Order: sequence, then C-alpha cells, then structure tokens
Amino acid sequence: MGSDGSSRAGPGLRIVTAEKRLHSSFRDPSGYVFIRDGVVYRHIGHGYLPHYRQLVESGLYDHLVKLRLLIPHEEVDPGLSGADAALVLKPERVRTISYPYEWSFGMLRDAALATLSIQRHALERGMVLKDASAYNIQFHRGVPTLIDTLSFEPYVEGKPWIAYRQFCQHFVAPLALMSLVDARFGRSLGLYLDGFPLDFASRLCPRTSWLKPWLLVHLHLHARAQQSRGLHAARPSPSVGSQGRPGSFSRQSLVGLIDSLESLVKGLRWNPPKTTWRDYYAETNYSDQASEAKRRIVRSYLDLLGPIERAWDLGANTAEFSRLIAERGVATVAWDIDVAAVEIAYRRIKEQGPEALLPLVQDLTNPSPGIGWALKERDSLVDRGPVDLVLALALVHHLAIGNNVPLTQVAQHFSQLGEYLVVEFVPKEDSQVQRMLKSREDIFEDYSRDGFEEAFGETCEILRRDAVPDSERTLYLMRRRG
Amino acid sequence: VNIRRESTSYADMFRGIHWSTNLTVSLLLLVVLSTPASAYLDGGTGSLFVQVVLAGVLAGLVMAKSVWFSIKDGIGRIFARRTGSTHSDR
Repeated sequence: MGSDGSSRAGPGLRIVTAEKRLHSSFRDPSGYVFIRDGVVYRHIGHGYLPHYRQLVESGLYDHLVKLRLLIPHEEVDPGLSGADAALVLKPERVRTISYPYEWSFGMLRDAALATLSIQRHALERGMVLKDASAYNIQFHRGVPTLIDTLSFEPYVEGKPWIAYRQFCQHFVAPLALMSLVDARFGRSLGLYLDGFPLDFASRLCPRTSWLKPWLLVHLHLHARAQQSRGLHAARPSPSVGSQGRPGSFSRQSLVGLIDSLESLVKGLRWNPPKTTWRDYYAETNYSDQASEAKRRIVRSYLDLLGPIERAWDLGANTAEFSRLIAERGVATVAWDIDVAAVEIAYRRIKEQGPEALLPLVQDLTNPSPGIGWALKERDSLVDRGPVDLVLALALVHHLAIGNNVPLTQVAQHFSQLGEYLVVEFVPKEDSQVQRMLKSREDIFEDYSRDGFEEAFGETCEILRRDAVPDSERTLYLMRRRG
Repeated sequence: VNIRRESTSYADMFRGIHWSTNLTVSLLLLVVLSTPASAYLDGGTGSLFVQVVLAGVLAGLVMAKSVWFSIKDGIGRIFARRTGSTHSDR
C-alpha cells in the first residue's frame, strides 16, 4: 500500500482505495475531513481556496501554528480526495479526540480563551473566525488547539461577528453555569450539541449573576434578545452609529467585543471543592509502602509490554498512575467521574506535563454515547477505542458492588476497550469494600479473587498476578484473547 | 425591490422603536445578513442585534483603554528617562 493512499494491484493498474468521510464533517460546505488508509485528510473545495490562500499568505497560519493555537498541516496531492478538491491538507494527527462534555471547567475555559485569542490574531491579519464551536478545539499535545483550518473568512468592515451566538452558547453559558451553579453542568453539553441554550442558562444562573456587567449583556440580555428575535428586549442604544459611520459595527467594536468576552471568561472561576475523590490518595487506607509497591508493579508491567501507543486509565482520579504511562510518551487518557479530580489533574499537567496525558470526565456506568446526527456525529467512548492498554486500579469494586455489574460483564467491557489490561482486585476484606457493604446487603457471592479470575479468564489470558504488599489487594496483567 | 422588502421586514422587528434608530439598525442588519458565500452559520437575528446595539459602547471602551495605556506609557517613559539620566550621571 502506498503512502499516498493508493495501492498497486499489478503492472499499470492503480487502485485508489476508498476514502471514508467523517460523520461529523458535513455542516460547512468549504470542505470536509476524510480518512484514507488510517490517515486523516482535509478536503478543500474550490470556493474556499481564496480564503485558505489568504490564511497562508497573510502569515496568520504560521503565526497561529507557532503559538500552538492552530493544528499544523502539509499540503498533499489533491487526487487523494475522491471528489474534486482544490487542495487536500494532511493535518498533524490528534491522538485523542475529546468532547466539551468531557472537559473540566478549566479545560473549557482555556478552550474559550484560545478561541478568542485566535479571533484576535485573525482580525489583526484581516480575517475572522466564521464559527466558534467548542468541538473545533481539541487538546493537542496538552494545549487547546483549533483543528478546523477552514474556520477563517475575510473580515468585512462593518459586520458584527457571525459566530458570536455560537461562542456564547458553546462557552459563555456553560462556563457561567459551571462557575456559578455547579461544575457538573459541563456534562449537560452533550444534550445540546450547538451549545447550551442561553435562555435556559439565564434562568438557571443565580440572580447575583445579573450584577456582573458582561454576563448581564452576553448571557442575560442576549438570551432575551434571542427570545424576542430582537424586538423590544434590548432597546437600541443612542450610541449606535456614534462612530462616524452611521450604524457601523466598526473594527473597534469587534475588538471591544473580543475584549469584553475575554474579560467575562477570565472573570469566571471555579476551584475544586474537597470531594471524596480529590482526597482519595490522602485518605485511603493505602500505606506509603503499599502505594510505592503498586507503582513498582505497574512500572514492571509497562516494561513487560514494551512500546505501546495509546492507553486509557479508567477511574484515574487525579491521574497519579496515568502519569507513569504518559511519561513514557504513550498518549494516555485519565478518565474519571469526578470533575474536581479531572480539574486538579489538568492544572497539574498544565504546570508540569506530560503533554501526552489528557484528563477527561467520564461516568463509566453511563459512558459517552454516540450522539448528534444519526448518532454518529460524536463518537462514543467505545468507538474511540480500542487502545493498547487499559488500566483499572481500585475500580472493579465500584462497578461490581457500587453499581451491581457482574464481574463477567466488567471483564467483557474492559476487553472491548483495550488489548492489554492492568486491573486491581480489591477483596471484600479490604476496608474500602467493607465501607461500601456497610449500608447494603451483601448479595455479591461471586465477588472473590477466584470469582474475579474466573470472570476475566473467560475473555483474557492472565499474564501476571502480583499481591500488593502491605494490603489485601492483587494486581493483574492480562491480555485479551483472540 | 428585494432590498426594500428585506429592509421592511427587518424594520418590522423593531416596531415601536424610534424611526431613525429603527432605520439605522435595519440598514445595518441588511448589510450584516448579506453574508459571503462561505458563511454557513446562522448568526441569529437576536445575537446580531445585541452586537449592533453594543457597537458604540464596545468601541468606546477600546478607545478608553487605548487612551489609558498611552497615558500609562507616557508616565512610564518619563520615569524611565529619569532613571536613565541617573545612570548617565554615574
């Protein structure tokens, strides 16, 4: 198979392999994303070509790439696209696709600030963002990066920002709710793919939020203007048209809009409260000796595995163990249900790295489904796998006892997500499990070390089994059969 | 004919507002909504309206900020010059 997406079946006969267009790439007629031979490409239509040229020739592309705000790409053979392309781009591959409803507060806030920064740089070079979807941002090598290279259009003097509504719905409303009401609101973004409805957010925010001037304007009054379709909710100010040219939304007004949105986003803050999971490592019954032994065992498993590319740490808490994998350059996702733990992990990664580590919010008892148009626009958790390694430390008892999932089903699901599994078994004798069983009847006859090995033995081969010293727990290294 | 019709249609949205402001906003929205072919997003009439209404305030704030920074820079430069002269005296 040739690297240009073609294969040769015989002398003189060239078979071009089929392209697979991404299900999420259909809204913008400027182009679309497709995959050929596992490589991601971006098709640019003839209509968009002048805008793309302006992006490059104005120096905006180089500038944004240098600032790590835009995904770098190379121009490749337009023939790689099955349709008539003006250009085909091969962007740098994003190793993990994540969605805003899986981000913590700080991640969504940084994505919002990145979007505004891009808009500001674009305006300086005569262009603007024609959309401001949070889904256009991905955490690439640890930082929020715009992945839609076709999001730019020439700036036309006098025009307001066409993506203002989208920015407020995708960023302002959820950030306000997460900051002022509850950080778990982020998860609800999965219900509203085009951002949180402003009128709904306005009703949910506390009355005191009306005292924040930019929130009053960009959320509350904006919501009312939307509801009345601009009828009477917001009276036109006498200052409209005061800039020399009657009624003009001048360049200066647009800069002011970006300033005000930036000031609003920066003013929204959230600090993780003390939660069960945040203080897990401090409060757990693990001794320092057991904890260090567990690290040593996990490291030895990683040594045994050799080079791998992708790993998922399920129930990762603040990503302490995910770090052991990511530090080896493996693209690692630290999934956890607790938004505070994910926020803490994100802040630490921002300060210290490693950039291969991405913390994300995930409820494993109800994981991200496929959503959007035809349920294919945003991939489910399972669709984004399988990965090379799944790590599940101190998690199985929460699924089996906390959520009544039979061990065989836990084993089947883990095997679906990864080829190699590192799983910790916590027996009933452990004080954490004892605590869970205190307030409920013990109906878990099969929950034992033997039951665990039997359940996982159906789908996996057990490669290693190590007792964690100074604890009742056991670590397993397993490989999915077949 | 089309232009007049659209203008009337947007003007209808702002019934009850003073006619001169009404005309200004209507004409502006006409410009705003006649977007280039690449704009696939619906900006939302209410959202564009908010921006138009805020235009003057936003521009004014940018101007005020710019004036403030030039004053600050000016003061900074005076102090820098004084510090510089101290150095040259040495």
